[in-house]
Amino acid sequence: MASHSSSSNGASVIGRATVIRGTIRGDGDLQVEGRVEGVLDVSGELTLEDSARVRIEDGALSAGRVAIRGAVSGNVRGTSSIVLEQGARVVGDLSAPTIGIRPGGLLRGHVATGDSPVSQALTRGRVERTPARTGRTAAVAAPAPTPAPARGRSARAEVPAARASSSGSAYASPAITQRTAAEEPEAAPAPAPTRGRGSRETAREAAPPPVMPALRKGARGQMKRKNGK
Amino acid sequence: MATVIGQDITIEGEITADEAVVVAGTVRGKLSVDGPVTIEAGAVVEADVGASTLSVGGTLTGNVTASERVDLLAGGRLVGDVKAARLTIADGAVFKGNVDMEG
Repeated sequence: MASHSSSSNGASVIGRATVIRGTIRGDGDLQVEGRVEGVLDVSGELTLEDSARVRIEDGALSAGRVAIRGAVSGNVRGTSSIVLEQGARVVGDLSAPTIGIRPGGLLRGHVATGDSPVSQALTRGRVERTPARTGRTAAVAAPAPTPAPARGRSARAEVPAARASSSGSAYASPAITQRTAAEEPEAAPAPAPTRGRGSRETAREAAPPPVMPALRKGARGQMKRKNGK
Repeated sequence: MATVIGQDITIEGEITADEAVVVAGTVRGKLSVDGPVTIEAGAVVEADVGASTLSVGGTLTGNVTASERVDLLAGGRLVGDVKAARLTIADGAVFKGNVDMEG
């Protein structure tokens, strides 16, 4: 009775001793301190506190503004922004018009800033790479009239580069997050779609983030084998 | 800190908690709480509810098991069976279901 009538004004909290399996939807703000497994889709501000454990099973976690201090497994989409605070641990892809990763925030996944088709596609599934590939084939196909072997060569040439960069980055995730954090203010106006038109160097520079999550179990061995011959 | 499900939030699925839960929004599925549950006026709950104490000011459809007590407040609406040691039904509440107070 005491708590009755005290708290109906829209502020929603999933407490730290609470587990929800299923779908959470709504228009208001939501603060998560406990565990959520399933679907999480709110239009307001979503705050995942350091005790929060969220596992998204289908699609993406979606909110207006997302602030993360806890653990998230799954893709995250912010219609206005995403900020990974210190202590955040995210395995999944991020997409929002602006994304911030503060020192001490850990991420393993793609990052797509801007309201680009790429970032939208990211949240729906593993699309990716199409702008990079079109950029590369265009650059190669212009001088050489034989696109098929040229593409094969470029694809092979990319493997060691990708391996070198990803093997460096996969085990030094703080370095990545710091680099992304450093780039973040300038990166705000959507660099992703412009990369496709850039030179081959920019396409290669752009390679590490898309390649990283492709490193699944056994992928390193596969690349080593391919590299060896 | 408790769990509060605000007016504009809808949860479909299973909620398990070891702390107080206040529902002002919509819950469908199952609500298992080791603690007090408050269903506020305007809230809609279509779920089986387990709690230590339950206070219903909104609409609850589902069976209720409470280890201590159930309070059905004026304006509250409960359709389902109630199993609880103590039950109060306020004047003006709506209730349809069986009551078992022998637990």
